[in-house]
Amino acid sequence: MPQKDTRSHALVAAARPGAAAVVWVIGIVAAALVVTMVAAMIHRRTVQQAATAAATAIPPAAQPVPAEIMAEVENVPDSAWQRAGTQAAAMPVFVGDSDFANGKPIVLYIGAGYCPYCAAARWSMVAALSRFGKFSGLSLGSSSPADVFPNSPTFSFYKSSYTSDYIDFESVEEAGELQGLDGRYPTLETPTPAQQALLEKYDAPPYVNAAGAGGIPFMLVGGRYMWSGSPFSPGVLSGKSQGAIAATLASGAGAAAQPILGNANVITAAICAVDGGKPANVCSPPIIRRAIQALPTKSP
Amino acid sequence: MRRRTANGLTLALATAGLLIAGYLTLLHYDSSVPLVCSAGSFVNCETVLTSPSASFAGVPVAVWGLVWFGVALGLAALLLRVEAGDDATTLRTVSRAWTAAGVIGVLYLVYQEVGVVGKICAWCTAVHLVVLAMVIVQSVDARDERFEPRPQLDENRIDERS
Repeated sequence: MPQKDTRSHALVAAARPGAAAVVWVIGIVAAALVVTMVAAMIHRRTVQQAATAAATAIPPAAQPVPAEIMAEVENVPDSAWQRAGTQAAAMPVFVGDSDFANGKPIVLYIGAGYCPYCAAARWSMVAALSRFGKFSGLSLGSSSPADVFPNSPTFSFYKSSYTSDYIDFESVEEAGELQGLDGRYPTLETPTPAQQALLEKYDAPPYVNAAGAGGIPFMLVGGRYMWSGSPFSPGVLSGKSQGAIAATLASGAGAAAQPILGNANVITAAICAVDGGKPANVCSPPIIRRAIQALPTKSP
Repeated sequence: MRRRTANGLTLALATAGLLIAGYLTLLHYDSSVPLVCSAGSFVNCETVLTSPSASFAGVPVAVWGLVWFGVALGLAALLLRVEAGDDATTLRTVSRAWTAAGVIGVLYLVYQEVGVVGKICAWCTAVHLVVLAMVIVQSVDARDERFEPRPQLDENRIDERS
């Protein structure tokens, strides 16, 4: 009799309507997940096709930086430089050697169009270098829409030129902003063997930690001061146009202006430290003299 | 599944989810916290966590996760204390409704990752799996509550009735 009871209970358990309910609940959730993923993939594909069509229809011609934006970046008033200070700026690493061309120190930049960290760095570089010379042919740019901090507004050094009585500027934009159909970013410029050697020598331990070795942006001032990585978070540029950001530089106030000008002050100080303090009107203000004194003097 | 086991499992899962959501919240607010995650072409936490989809209604999704798991943990802890009676029934209903809301949140976030960002965050996926595991545990628990052990039959009484 007990055996019969056990079997009958097992039969009852197997036929529990509740077991079917569990399967239903899990099935509904699984089906909802599958439907969600399929809908998401269809959405993604539609967006990518639209982007591809747009890229095909409109040649990605570089748009020159409008004169009014260029003027705002080139003519930052002294009060704004003072206000920005250098407190939150990224200090360079002292790497020691000197690198001069034709008697002028070289400022080397290696980056890429897609890179949001390079987008941030270029703002400070253009503001700082405009104190020592003049850019021409700069174009508007934005970082990759598919990378972190998508579409960070910036400039592009690609096909631009720079003249200065005090420094030589070498820029290498290794790749463009938009992925091709193969998912790769188009190659724009390749570092010379000498530039590549500097990158491999200084963008590596002990100057940077192993995880960041070889990263961009890479900037070297006079072969003495090196920055690797973003000087500030590209997030402060998010959702703004170049014009809107440039318009805040005159006051030095705002989430973007402060780090742009603060880091530009340190870059300015590094250049002043390697070019003999020229020109005096750029290198002599107290904020720059203090920044020069704060620059590192020993390699890590 | 025994009720106590189901409540304990829910509590453990909510704790795991809370820890992961806490880590993601720390990552959002403290840039010195290292992100331990693949940076591949499809699985890439950094891309997902810095995308506009990482916020909902102006609040980081990680914070929403922290709140959701915090409430789920509280409900599970209460259910462990109050195992029977009307209070337990009400709490179980609230807990299941909360989990259902969590599933809707998971579906929304999966859509954002796959459809909008085009990349998957491994930590986010771990959180989603925790929520789905909670669904399974609570479904099994709901099934079993309909089949409480039957009292021993009193054969004499049956005989009396027959």
